[in-house]
Amino acid sequence: MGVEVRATAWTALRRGCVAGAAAILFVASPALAQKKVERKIPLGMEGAIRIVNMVGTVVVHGWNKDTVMVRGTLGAGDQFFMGGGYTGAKMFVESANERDPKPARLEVWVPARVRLWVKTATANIDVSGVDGGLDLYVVSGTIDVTGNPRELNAEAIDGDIHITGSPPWVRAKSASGTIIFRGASSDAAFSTVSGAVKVEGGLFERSKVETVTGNINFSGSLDRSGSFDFDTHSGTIDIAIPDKTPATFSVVTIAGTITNNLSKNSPIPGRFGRGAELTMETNSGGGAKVSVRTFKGPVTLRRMK
Amino acid sequence: MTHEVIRHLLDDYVTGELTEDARAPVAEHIATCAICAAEVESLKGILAQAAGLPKAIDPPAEAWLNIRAAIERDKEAVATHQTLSESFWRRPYVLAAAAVLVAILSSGGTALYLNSRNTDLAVVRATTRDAANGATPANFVAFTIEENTYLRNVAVLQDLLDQQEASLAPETVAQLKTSLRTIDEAILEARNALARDPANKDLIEMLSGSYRQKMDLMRRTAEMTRGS
Repeated sequence: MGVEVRATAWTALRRGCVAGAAAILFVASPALAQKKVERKIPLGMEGAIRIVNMVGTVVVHGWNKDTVMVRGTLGAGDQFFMGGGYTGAKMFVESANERDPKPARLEVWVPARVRLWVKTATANIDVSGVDGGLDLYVVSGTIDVTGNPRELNAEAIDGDIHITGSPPWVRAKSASGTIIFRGASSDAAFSTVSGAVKVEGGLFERSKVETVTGNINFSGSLDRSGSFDFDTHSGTIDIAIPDKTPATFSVVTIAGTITNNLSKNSPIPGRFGRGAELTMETNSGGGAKVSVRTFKGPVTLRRMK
Repeated sequence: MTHEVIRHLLDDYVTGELTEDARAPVAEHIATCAICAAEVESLKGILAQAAGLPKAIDPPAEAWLNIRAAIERDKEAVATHQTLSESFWRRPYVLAAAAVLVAILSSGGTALYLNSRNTDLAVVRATTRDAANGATPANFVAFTIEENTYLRNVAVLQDLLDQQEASLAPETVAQLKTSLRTIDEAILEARNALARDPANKDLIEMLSGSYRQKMDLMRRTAEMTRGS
């Protein structure tokens, strides 16, 4: 009896070990199939670099060395190429199977003042500490930028774009993705179709925000000589500015409503009694010129909390 | 070629201005598409009627005054606008001017389309960027002219996207189509409002903005799906 019990236990233990080993192999197999890459080439502090990685992630850090270094992992059979001279370099991942590319993760260190161009399909792009110009393109990944690039152009089709910093010139476009900008800029433009646009932070000199159905939230300071345009078809527009900001507002909605909490001015009915219009000056007028236009989206003007 | 593209080539097809290369696929499409076949018949009817008109007509001395008066009246009241506008557009000399305009736009658009097939996306990119940087049309008439250009560019871009659709993930294609539909609905809604209130500059600017957004989204997608 005791022998039988021991035999059964031993069999169960052996089966358990086999199943465990199989499970470990199953879980580890993708990792084993991945290929590691690590390269380094010289690149001038104000050179240019192009990175193409269709699926996975691209993480870029700016550093104070005239060198580009990349570390990453590629899918089995994928090839990594990198080359160029001191003024310009390029790196890209060539997938073994173009129809079903495997994710590749690239972490890249570049000279901080470099001009950076990154293109991906579904890969996320994460850039920090790069002060040069940035051109970032994704189809459906997310773009995250932290820092103060002198120029920033970020475009997505259905991915989100998050920017934290103060690029003097910034353009961000997405169709259904959300755009969130936290910082300040002297020249900013944001555009979506259905994605929301949220802008908050410091001083803006010139900005243009347009959506079709996406909501627009702007909370920031307006430069006295600045001009600001907000356009949407049916999204809501919520604009919050500091108290006592000198500005001239021109607000028109064809079929929406206007709520004005900035001054005592009341909106008047629009053309042929539809919609609403409001032209007003805050803090004795002059200053920034603000134009707000919607087809049927409601507009709210208020003081920043 | 897609139905959308061919629709914009029908007038050149009827007037015999298409090249042989372009003519064959258009004819092939017309043979299987009832909408385009009806459009061709309608265009042929217009041409037949136009053939019976004199080659040139001197506009009456008061023509411009009448046009200006019609525009002024348009501004005054929506209720009476549509009747006035219709009568305005039915005047023979305005029709003649419109026919010339359509012919010019048609040839230009066709050239643009055919060039774009050969010379790649660069032409469309330049055109859409020009449109994006250009000033908004000052009035309804200027807008309708520009709208024609927008529509032709959209057709060219749609053709490019159709060719590239296989290289996009299905979910991205679905999302893109949803976004384009959203813009189209906004355009339609604003367009209907503009028909009721053609002197509304804000509406004209909004509509132009929506068209620009549509072209820009299509251009960006076409560029992103191409190689680096």
